[in-house]
Order: sequence, then structure tokens, then C-alpha cells
Amino acid sequence: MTAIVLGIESSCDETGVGLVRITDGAPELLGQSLASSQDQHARFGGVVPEIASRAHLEAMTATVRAAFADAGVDPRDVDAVAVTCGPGLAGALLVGVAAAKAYAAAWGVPLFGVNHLAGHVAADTLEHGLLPKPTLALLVSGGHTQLLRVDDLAGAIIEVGTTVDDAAGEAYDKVARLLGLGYPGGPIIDRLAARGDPAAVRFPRGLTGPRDAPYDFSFSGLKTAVARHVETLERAGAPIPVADVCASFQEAVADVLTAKTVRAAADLGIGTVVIAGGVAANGRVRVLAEERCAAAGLTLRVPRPGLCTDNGAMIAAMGAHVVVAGRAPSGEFLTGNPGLPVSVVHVP
Amino acid sequence: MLVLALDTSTPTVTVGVVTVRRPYALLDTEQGAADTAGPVTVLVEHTVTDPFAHAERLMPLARAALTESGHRLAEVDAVVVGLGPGPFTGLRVGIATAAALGDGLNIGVHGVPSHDALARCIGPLTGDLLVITDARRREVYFSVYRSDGRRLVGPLVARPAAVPDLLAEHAMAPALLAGAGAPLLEGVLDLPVTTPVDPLSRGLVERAGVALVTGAIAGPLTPLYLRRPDATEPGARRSVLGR
Ligand SMILES: [Zn+2]
Repeated sequence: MTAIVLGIESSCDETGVGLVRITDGAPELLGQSLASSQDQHARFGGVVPEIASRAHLEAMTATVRAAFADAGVDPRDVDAVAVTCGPGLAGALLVGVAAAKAYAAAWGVPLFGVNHLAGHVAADTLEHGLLPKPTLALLVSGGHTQLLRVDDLAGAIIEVGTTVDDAAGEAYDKVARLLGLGYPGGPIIDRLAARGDPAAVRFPRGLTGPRDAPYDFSFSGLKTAVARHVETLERAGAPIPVADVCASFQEAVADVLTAKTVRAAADLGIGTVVIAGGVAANGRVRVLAEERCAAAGLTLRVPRPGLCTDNGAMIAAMGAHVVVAGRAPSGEFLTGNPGLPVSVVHVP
Repeated sequence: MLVLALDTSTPTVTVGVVTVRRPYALLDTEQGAADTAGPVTVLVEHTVTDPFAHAERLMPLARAALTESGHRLAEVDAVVVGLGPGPFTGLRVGIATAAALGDGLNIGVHGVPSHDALARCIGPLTGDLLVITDARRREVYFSVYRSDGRRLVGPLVARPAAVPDLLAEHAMAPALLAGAGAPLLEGVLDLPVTTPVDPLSRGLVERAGVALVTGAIAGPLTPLYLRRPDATEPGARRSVLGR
């Protein structure tokens, strides 16, 4: 069986459209297009929902056309439309859902509302093929920090752990802001950290005590510790060793993320780890994950950076897996659900 | 030609299936009041009032309206959509839907100010008309129309209490009030409230008249937000050490 699925993503600040062909269960990326409102959020230090929603509406049809052009596919070849229906920003989600419902109706094809988090995991199948069952996925970005047990991409995903406060990417943004480094924090801190000493300051590792939830994350205390450190130096009139602070902060984040992931894989008896989300592109997270997974005998899969951040291809891939699994299309009353749990991979 | 008319600028979702007789019969009525014997026929109009379910309800409503009219989506020649003003999330649902339908069906999509459409549905006017809709956050959107249907002021957004002064500033003394936000002016402006005699789809399609019948390329679908996004730039860093 072969099918072409168009995927639409609009849960945060990226308007993404992808086209995926799935043949005998194996998905292949045909083409995609992405429009971002990231620049418009920079001076606010974080994503402003209304700005993101307005940008999605402005970009949507042009992004769909660009994806078709990139893929060299005709709209008449599309067999199904998939769309992120949650989790995400309420107003932003609805632009994608409304557009997807209309495209599906116009082309007379079924519509599948899919989970954004599951989409991040599905993105890896575009690059590395089907996932072994089960797989452990670590999703890290400005919006998510989650450990997921994936038994079936199109059917069964369980949340093993999550952040109790900030997402990892959010911590990067906040630390970058307090160091006066700009937005988004992730790539900036990653670059500066490469020139600093990761052992310069021992920042706290959240939720790593013997009685703490073993697979949950907390980054709020780390952010406050960095702020204290910086402020103490400032009060003493000492210069701020920005590169060292960045490297030490990044070390704390990467240490906790990878240690908890490897531990969860061992405890759950899972042999393959996928890391996805914007922070998966982070240099130190990647290196440390490779070291620790190798030491623990785990297979590590990280999609290329363009497939890690939010995009339409991952939603098309997710839709393709759902179609192949024979799931029912979403009903005509489909809408966005900002708090969609990851266990609901596809909304019937 | 067969036209699908959509509006999501108020708590009510409106979908109309409308036929327009060619050629050029609308040219005379584009700026003027509705031509009651005119070339626009509303075959079916469906509405549902639920301020938080626009995305959920719009496409099912469109499907139902088309089915009842005996037509299929593939037969639609053009889409007309209300550009607001309206609360942002709901408004965007209508515009995103219209834009995607147009793109998906390869047909034109024409955006029209929603107040203009409503003003055309009131029937013969004896004086100026004030159209009011709910802008949420204790504000209203308003526009003023001359008895021949021409817009004189607006659309603007203001607190209800500020509307009389704004009208005075523009030397406007409307004689009638219409729109879903009319109750919000109670006690502020005592005007007789009138209700539309025509379905909103008629107003939407007539307002888009010239562009529809001439096949003019539709302009950009720019929503009438009338407000900037809520966003504040981060202030100075707060101390974590205290004093
Ligand atoms: Zn994401």
C-alpha cells in the first residue's frame, strides 16, 4: 500500500507543511516548507501567542503551496491530510486545524488530527526508518521536556516522565535573557558554552535526589541558581565569565537529561532511544547522549536538526503511520486541544 | 455563479450558499443599498451561536448547508468571507477556512468587512445606522452607515461609554442601532435597535459584488483586528538575592 499525506503544523511559532509518501509502512519525505515568526518574538524574550497566531494565518496557504512545489507533487495526488490538533497554543492550533479541515474537504480526502508530541517521534522515522518496539523518546524543546515510552507510534505512547516546571528550552531562554544574550537562548548558549569550562560552576541537578521522581525533570531551580551566581558576582563587582556560566549551565541540563533517559531505558528494558525537539540539536546534549547511550549499550537515534524543531514533515509522517495502521479519520467536529495528552496520538 | 459565504466575526458562525446571476448585475449595488429584487439569491443559510466552537462547527455547517442546497463543494465558484472586526481566534477560523477552501478548490476568495455586510441586511433606512459588535474585554467594535449603505465611520474599537463622544467627534448622529453587540450600549446610547431582514450571506456576497462578477483578483485576506497583540517587553531583571 502506498499513500501521500500532507501534514500541517501550527502549534507554536512555526507554520510547517510537509508531504510524505508511505510505502509498505516506510515513510519517505517528499518535500516541505516552513515559515517562522520567531523574529517577531525576539524582543519579548519568548513566544507571544497572538503574534504567532496572526503569523500562521498570514503564512498558511503560501506555505502549503511552497511544500507542493518543493515536493513536486500535485494536490490531486494527496490521499489524506494530517494536522496537529494539540498540544500547543490554543489560537495557533486553530489556524492549522481550520485550514486542514478546509483542504481535506476541498480535495475530498480524509483528515487525521494527530498529536504534536507523537509527531516529534515520527519525524525520526523519516530519517532512520521504522522504530523498534518499544522505543524510549526524549522530547526536549522550548515547549516540551518529556520521556515517552513508544510501543506503537500510531496507537500506544505512554508518558514516563515530564518537567514539573519549565521546559528545558525555556530554561535556556531565561538564562540567556539574564545574561543579556538575546533570543532564542538555545543556540546562543550552545555556541558560547563551547568556549567555556563546564566544570567552572557546579550548578544543581534538579530532581536527582534518591527520593525524587526518577524520570521527571525540573529546571526552575537551575535557572534561579544561575541568577544567584550571576548576581553575587555582580554585587562583588567581579566580571561575569559568560562562557563558563553558559558551559556550566548547559552541562547541568545535558547531565540531567541524558542521565534520566539512560536510567529510564535501563529500568524499562528498552534498547533504543530517540531524542527529538529543538534542544536535540544542542551540541553538548548530543555528545553526552552518544557517550552515555554507547556505555549503556543503547542505540541512539537523533533526527537531523531540521526535523528536530517543529515542522510539517513530522506531522505528515505521523499522519502516514496513522493511515497505514488503519485508524479511523477524525470526525468533522475536530478542533484544537491545547492540553491534548500524549497518550492520545490521534483524535478520532 | 455559486458562492459560499462565511462569517465568524461574532459568537455566531454563519454559512450561506448563495447564487449570483451574471453578468454584472451587481455593479449597481456595490456601494449602494441592497437591491431587493436583485441578482443575489440565498439558497440556504445556516448559523450556530457558540463563541468557543467556531473551528469545530464551521466546516460541518458548510457541509450541511451545501447538502441542503443540493450542491457539492466542488461546484462552488467563489468564497466570500467576513474579515471582521471580531475577537481574534474565532475570526481567524473563518478566514483560514476560506483561504484554504479557495486554495484547495482553486477558486477566488473575497474578504469583506463584516459590519458592511450586516448594514446591507437591515432593510430600508430612514437615518444613519450604528453597527455594534462585541469586542470582548469590555469593548465594542462599531461602524456608522449612511441610509444608502455607505460606510461613514469605522470600524473602530472602544469602550461602550466612549462611543457617544467618538460619534460626536465625527459629527455623527445615528438613528438606529444594529448588531449582536447592541445590548452592550444599553444605558449609554438610547437608540431603537433593529434586526436584519435579510440573511447575512446576502450582505456578504453583495458587498463582494463587483469583484465576484468581474472575476477580479481577490485582495489579501487581512483580518480587521483593530488591536495590537497583547505583549510586553521584559523589564529589568528582578533580584533573586533580595537585599
Ligand atoms: Zn514541538
